[in-house]
Parts: sequence; C-alpha cells; structure tokens
Amino acid sequence: MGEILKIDGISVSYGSIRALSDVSMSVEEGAIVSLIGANGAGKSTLLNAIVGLVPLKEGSISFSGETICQTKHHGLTTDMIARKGIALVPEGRHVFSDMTVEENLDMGAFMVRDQELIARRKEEMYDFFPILGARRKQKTRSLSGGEQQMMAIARALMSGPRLLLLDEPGLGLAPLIVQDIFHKIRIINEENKVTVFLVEQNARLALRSSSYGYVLENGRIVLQDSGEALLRNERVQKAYLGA
Amino acid sequence: MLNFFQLILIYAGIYAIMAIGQNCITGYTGMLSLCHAGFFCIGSYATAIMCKTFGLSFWLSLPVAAIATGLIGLLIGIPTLRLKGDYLCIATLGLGEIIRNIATNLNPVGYNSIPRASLFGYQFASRNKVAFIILIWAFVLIFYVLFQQLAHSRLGRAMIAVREDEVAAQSNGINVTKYKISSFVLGAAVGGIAGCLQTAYTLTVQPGSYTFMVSVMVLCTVVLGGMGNAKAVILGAFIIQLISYLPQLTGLTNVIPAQAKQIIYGLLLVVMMLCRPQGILGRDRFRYGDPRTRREKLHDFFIRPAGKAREARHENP
Repeated sequence: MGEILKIDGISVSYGSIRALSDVSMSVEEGAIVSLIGANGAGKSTLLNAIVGLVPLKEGSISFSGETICQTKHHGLTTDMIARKGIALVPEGRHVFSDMTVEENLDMGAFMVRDQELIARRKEEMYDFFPILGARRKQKTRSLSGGEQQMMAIARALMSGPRLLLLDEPGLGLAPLIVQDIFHKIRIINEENKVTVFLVEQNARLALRSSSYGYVLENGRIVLQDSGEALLRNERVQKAYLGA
Repeated sequence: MLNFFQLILIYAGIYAIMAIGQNCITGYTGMLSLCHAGFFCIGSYATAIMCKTFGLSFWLSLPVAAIATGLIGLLIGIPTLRLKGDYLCIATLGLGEIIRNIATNLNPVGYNSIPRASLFGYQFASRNKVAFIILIWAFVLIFYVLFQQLAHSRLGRAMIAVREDEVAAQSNGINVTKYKISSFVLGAAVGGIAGCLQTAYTLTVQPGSYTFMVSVMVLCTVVLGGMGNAKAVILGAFIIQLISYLPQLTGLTNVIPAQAKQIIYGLLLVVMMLCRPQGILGRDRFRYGDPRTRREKLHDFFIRPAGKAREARHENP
C-alpha cells in the first residue's frame, strides 16, 4: 500500500520561536504510526499543521497525493482538510461539553448527509464503546476523562475518515484506561481500515502499538524506525523509556 | 396609564426583535458584538429613505431594509469576525459609532413626516397603538418561530458548535468563518427589520436615537433573559422596557431622573452575573433526543437549579 500522508520539509514558527524545522515524514496507508517526544518538542504543532490549524513557514503536506498544506495562504482550511478524510482528535479532547454524547456524535457526522448512515455509525460506536451507549443522553461534561476521550475518538470516527490523528490520547488518564484506549485504537485500525497517526508521551505503549515511529526533539526528527526497533534503541530507552 | 402600557408593549416588541437578532449572534454563535444600534439605524434609515424619497410602500421597504442591513452586516463581518472576544466587541462598538456618525453627517436632522404604513387599506396611525402592538408582535412571533426552528436545524447546530468549541467544530468539517458570517448577517438583518418597524411607528428618524446605549440595552436584554434562548430574550425585552419607563410608570418623573435607568441596568447586570449568570430562563436545551417527560420539562423550566441537581444525581448513580 502507498503512503497516505506525506510531510515534506515543513517548518513552523510562532513569531520568532521556531517550533518545527525541516520535518519530513510519511505515513503508510493502513498503518499505525506514532510520534514520540518530550513536552515542547513540537508534537502537537505537527498535528495542528497537518489539519491546517497553524500555518507553514516552509514545505508542504500532501494527503493521498494531493497537496493540502502549503506555505502561507495556499493551503486548505481546516474544515476542507476534514472533508478530505482526516479526522483530528485534539489534545485535551475538545468535546462539546454542553451537548449530550449523542449530539456530539451527530456533530461528528456533520459532513455526512445520509441519515441512515449516521444512525448506523452511531449504533456501531455504541457497540464498540458500550460505556458511550449507556451514557448517550448525558451531557458530555458529566463524563469521566476516559469516557470523554472515547467519545472524542468516536466523534472523529463518525465522519468515516481515512486517516485518524490522535493527539495524546492517554493524557491525564489512569494506566488501565490508557491501555484500553490503545487496545481500541488497534481494533479501529485493523477492522475499520483506518490509518492512525498518533502523538504520545507514553512512548512504550505508543511504540508497541505502532508499526513505525518517529522521535521528535526540539522541532526536529532525530530518529525513525519500526516500532520494535525503536523500543530496543538505546537512545530511546534512555530518554523515553526510563531504562 | 393604559397608554403607557401600550407604549411599553410596542417598544418591548421592537427590542424583542432586536434581541432575537443579537441572540443569533451572541447567544447561538457566541460572538460578543456591540453594534446592534448600527443595524437598527440602517434599517430605520433605509425605510425612511425608501418611503419618503423613493415613494415605496412600507411593505416593499421592509425587505429592502433587511437586505441593506444584511449586506452591511456582511461587509462589517468579513474583516471583523476574524477577531475574538473582547477584540470583536471593541471593533463592532467602533463600527456602530461609525454608522451613527455617517447617519448624522448624511442628514443631521433626520427625516420627518414619513408616509404611513398601510395594510389592506388600513392606515397605521401612531395614535392607534393597538394596531401597532398587533403588527409588531406578529413580527416577534414570526421571528421567534423562525429562530426556534433555526436553533434545531443543521445551520443552528453548526453555530452552536462554533460557540462551544471552534477547534472541534473545524475538525468536524464545519467552516467556522462561513457560519460566523451567516449568523452575523442574519442577526443584522433582523435588527434592520426592527429599525424598519420603529420607523413605521414614529414616522421620523433622528441620528440621535441610535447611540451606543441602544446596543448595550439590546445586549443586556439577551444576557438578562438567557443567552441562546429565544423565549428568554423576549422576557428580557419586557423587563428592560419596564425599567426604562419606570419613572413615568410610578409617576415619579420629578423624583427619579431619566439617567437612573442606566444605573438600574448596571446594577441588574451585576446582580445577574453574581446570582444567575445563565440569565433568568437560562440556555435553551437541544430538543432532539430529549429524554425528559413534559412534567420534568416544566419542572426544569420553573425550578431549574433544583431540576439540575436532580439531573446530576440521575447521571451519577
């Protein structure tokens, strides 16, 4: 299978502060690829750049052969990129907290016009995340952190994306819940054939689930290899696995 | 006295229409705009000019006023809606003043003796207040139903999503700019229609009546009633008008100065923010998928905080 996402030498700056410099990477279709790095390495910036939330200073990003982000004002807007089939689960979840779970899922399917398809996908989501099915009429603000994270993933899947971007799905959650979420991510990848690109601080769990990984330090890619090889890599072990 | 109540009903209706427009911008989409006096002014002037200079009937100048205000809302919206929160507030405040200044320079004394509106041969004369009450409240009802429908439509849901979380809205494929501008233009056009109706009632327009205070009053109306709730803003319009005619109503015009109403508005807003920031009636809930029974809805409607506590217990068994 070919590459679905190609990032070609991008740089991003916030004013005079350089967040990403000359980052190039690619994501194979059908794979789980993870990006690990410390706080402030530029992980979230990279995801935000892919969906057009931050402008590029240099380079370009293409999705299944089509350029979606370019420098300055030539790229697509975030909603257009979402329509191409990239769904972002943002850091901190960004749920519509005043809406119920069901309404959140309806919002996730905003681009889908087929009511039957929406109803079918909602049922699939309730089957896949039973806790959401039990809480479908509740306001999202009353859900726990893990439940909200699952809802954010379910909402992203409602649009039927080809590429799912996950920004720190394990942030602030109990280890058991994080494992459950990663388990679900693997199932989504295998059964729904959704390519997953995830950014995570929990390097061990992320690399174990991934076929390929990148390590980001100070806005630069310093290492890249298969998930297993990175887990054995001495530098990764020292810096991220606490070995 | 009866005369006063009729006057209050007329102005409460006009302000209710303006507040419904403001509610679309601030309540649904969450943009803090402060130029509804400007939209009110454009609607009034468009009606005055159409009726007087071009000899159009009131019913023809009504859509002209709405379209003109909507277009100017669009022109204002495209550059300013990139701003957020306080910045948007300041920019729109300035624009409201610019509109008023343009109106003043256009014609400092305004327009007088504008032809009356008529319907099926009946002429709406200013002294026949009952006819105006019916006319204006018919419009209130129309806009209430329209915006109630809007809130539960695809467009309304997109607006509410933009208010709740812009990043999430965008990543779900919602064009934030498009819905912000649509909301602004819709709200502006409704404000223009309120201006049109006011002109039909007073038959004069003066630039002095579209000051910043009007924008503040409209925003107060929305905040007081409850943001994002069309029923609530109509209630808010009543309360605001009652306060503004308080000296005349109580017969104490000699004791209470006219400026006292501004103090009362200010006090009311402070008290509201402290005790009930969501407004008297609070936000309107989504209608679809509402599992509550009619009795529970009534319960929540009248005794909201108690209802909420029960809901919370229900949610976390």
